[in-house]
Amino acid sequence: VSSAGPELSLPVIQATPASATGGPATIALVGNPNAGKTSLFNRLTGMRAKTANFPGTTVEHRRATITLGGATTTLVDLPGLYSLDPTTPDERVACDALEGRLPGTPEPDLVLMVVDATNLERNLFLVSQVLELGDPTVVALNLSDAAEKQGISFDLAELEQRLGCRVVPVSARTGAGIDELLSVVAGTLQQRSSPNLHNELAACSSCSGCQYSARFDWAARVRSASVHGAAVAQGRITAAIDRVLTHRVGGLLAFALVMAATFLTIFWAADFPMNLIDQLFGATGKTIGTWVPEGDLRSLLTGGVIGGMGGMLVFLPQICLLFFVLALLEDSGYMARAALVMDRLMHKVGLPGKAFVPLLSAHACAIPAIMSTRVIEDRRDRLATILIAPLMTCSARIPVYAMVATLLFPHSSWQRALIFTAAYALGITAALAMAWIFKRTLLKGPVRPLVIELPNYRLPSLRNALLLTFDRAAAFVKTAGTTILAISLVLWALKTYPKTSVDEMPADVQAQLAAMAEAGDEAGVEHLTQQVELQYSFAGRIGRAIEPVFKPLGFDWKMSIGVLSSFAAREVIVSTMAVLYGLGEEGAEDGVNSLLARLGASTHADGSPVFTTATCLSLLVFYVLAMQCLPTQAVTRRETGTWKWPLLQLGYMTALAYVAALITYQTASLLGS
Amino acid sequence: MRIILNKLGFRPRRAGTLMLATLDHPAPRTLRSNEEPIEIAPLSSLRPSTTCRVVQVNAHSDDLRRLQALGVCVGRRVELVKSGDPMIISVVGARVGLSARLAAEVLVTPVDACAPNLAPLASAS
Repeated sequence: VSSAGPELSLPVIQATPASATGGPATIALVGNPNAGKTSLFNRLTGMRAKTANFPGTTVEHRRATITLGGATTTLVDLPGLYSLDPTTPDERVACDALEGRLPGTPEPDLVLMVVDATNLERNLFLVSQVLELGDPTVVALNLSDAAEKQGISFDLAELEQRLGCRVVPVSARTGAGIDELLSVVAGTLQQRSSPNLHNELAACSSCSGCQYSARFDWAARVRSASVHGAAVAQGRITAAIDRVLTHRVGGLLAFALVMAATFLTIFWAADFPMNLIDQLFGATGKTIGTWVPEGDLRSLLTGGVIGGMGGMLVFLPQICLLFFVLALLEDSGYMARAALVMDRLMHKVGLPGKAFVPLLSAHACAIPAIMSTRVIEDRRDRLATILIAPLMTCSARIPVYAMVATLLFPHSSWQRALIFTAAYALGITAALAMAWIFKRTLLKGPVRPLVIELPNYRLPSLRNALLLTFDRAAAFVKTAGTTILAISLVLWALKTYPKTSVDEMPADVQAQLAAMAEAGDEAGVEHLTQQVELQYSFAGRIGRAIEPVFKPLGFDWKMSIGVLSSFAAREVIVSTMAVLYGLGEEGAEDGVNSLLARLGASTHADGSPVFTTATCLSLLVFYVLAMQCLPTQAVTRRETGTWKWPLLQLGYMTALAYVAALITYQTASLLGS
Repeated sequence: MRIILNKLGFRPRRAGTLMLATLDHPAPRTLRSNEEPIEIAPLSSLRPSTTCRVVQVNAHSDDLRRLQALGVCVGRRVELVKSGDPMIISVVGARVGLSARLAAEVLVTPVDACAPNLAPLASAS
């Protein structure tokens, strides 16, 4: 026991009451990805945890303050690790934080090592590396109830002697052993005793051969000395399920079924809360309308603030549900299988199998998709996935598709369905093509070959999934909320100023207004006023100014304004068109039919229809491919850490949308004439 | 096969010739070590339900670290659960999904499934 390595005798600091840095003591939770670390963290901290980024990184962790033995203690949940030789950004940050190499993050005063009792040998590998750091360490033998059920028993004294630190069997699921764990942790923290490194373990790091082999050999010896009962039954159910779920054909079928069920659930269950939020914001807008006198302030509050926030929050139910279902699937162990069965197909476009689920999620909303790319190890693979995710048809595009499809085929539902399908297919094809291009140019590099642990299947924890969903949703509201509020206000100002009084309007408009007023058509007066005001606002002037840019795509100035106004949120085009075509802001809500009738009947000055087939197709292609979602851009900025990537996203998607719409319009016009 | 590997930017670092030769001739090769002949073959050439011991891992640095951290390192016993690309192996009590490209860089030798797991360093303890 005394023959510890020379560096290990150094960090023993005797009788320091609180943290070495003076503040509250920090405990870091360290463990393999599937050891139940997060469950234990949640069990120890409950709802008191906060999600934060490590300073200067985009890597998240959860931390909470708990009272331990009368003293305030910070508990930090580090990202899951297989070893202290990191291969991913998350692992690198976790290692740096653990070893005190991360600026702004104090070195932990105690390491709470969470290991899976049902597979001790594998987990002991990381334990061997952590023990060598010399920090006071306590090992929590998690899932000990499951181990007991499998007939595995532990010789705790032997295990503690060989590890040189305290070992406490716990079950994060049932809460058994948690009290003892806390008292052992408090005691170890007070003594600040470094682990007594067993000489066999100390020999590992100085071993001249493969350090990994030496550690695994040590782990095998520790297991055989202190664990009784073989874990043979353990994987039997998993093996049986895997025979289906990882089958060459059956696996893909099962995956398609799981994903279809996920999306049906999301679209079905999100419908009600989405309507509720929509109505709530509508009602709030109306209430404020009655309180605040008519004028700029009312317009700012209802149109700018409420409209902008409502437009973002209406998608929150979908985002939350998607996070929730993905968390359940991840926790159950299925996600690793999904990555496995999709790996070979995804390699064809230069992406790893793990990119598939994020890309599929992007069909509901790009925001959770981009956040869930964190599972991708390689930086280039992850960036490529983030860059292409917004090309997938998200639910905000559906109103626009519906508008165009109905304009094109007002009387044929199957042709409308065809247009929808084509739009989805176009998005997917463009995304995969762009991934292929990015992985050969800007993000050049081979796809990281798949190495993934397939954890045993288990019943997912609702509590963990709910906590994760809450965290992610809060992060989204915070990140996207501030950005979208600012941009909504700017857009509102552009659409409102400068004001045009009736006297400044052209003579024919004035005459028309007078005639309407005489006939008692108040709504008509209001709509025409709104229309002309928008026309003369900054947005209207900009729309007219840039009309030549969009002319080759077949867009007139009204559509140009629509495209501009949907810069922050693409679905806005429907309400903008409603205002521009004189239906008033309610026009879009009154029913798409009146808007469509108006759009379909609108003509150019020379009498030719505005919405020809070519224009409609061009508009559709533009909306499939253009980056018109500010929250997505804000989340991309958050996930990548710089504005470079969201700007690239905006740039390439706009260029792609423009060129594709141009080709569509010119080709369709040629064929049509 | 070699063309595909090159296309993917694949460059074996160590024992590259051995590996490519093995790929071209997937049948197990017999090498002569100091005492007895040992059959060595890439992990990717195994049949399902066979157990073997890892003798060499030739992957790139990051892939090598990931493989080793998951237990695919010299001396460990590996069982092939499901062949194909990606394949599933069982190592140190866990199932690991592995692309065939990486499996080709792991050289193994067959072992008797009943042999104890501690053979290489058991005497050291």
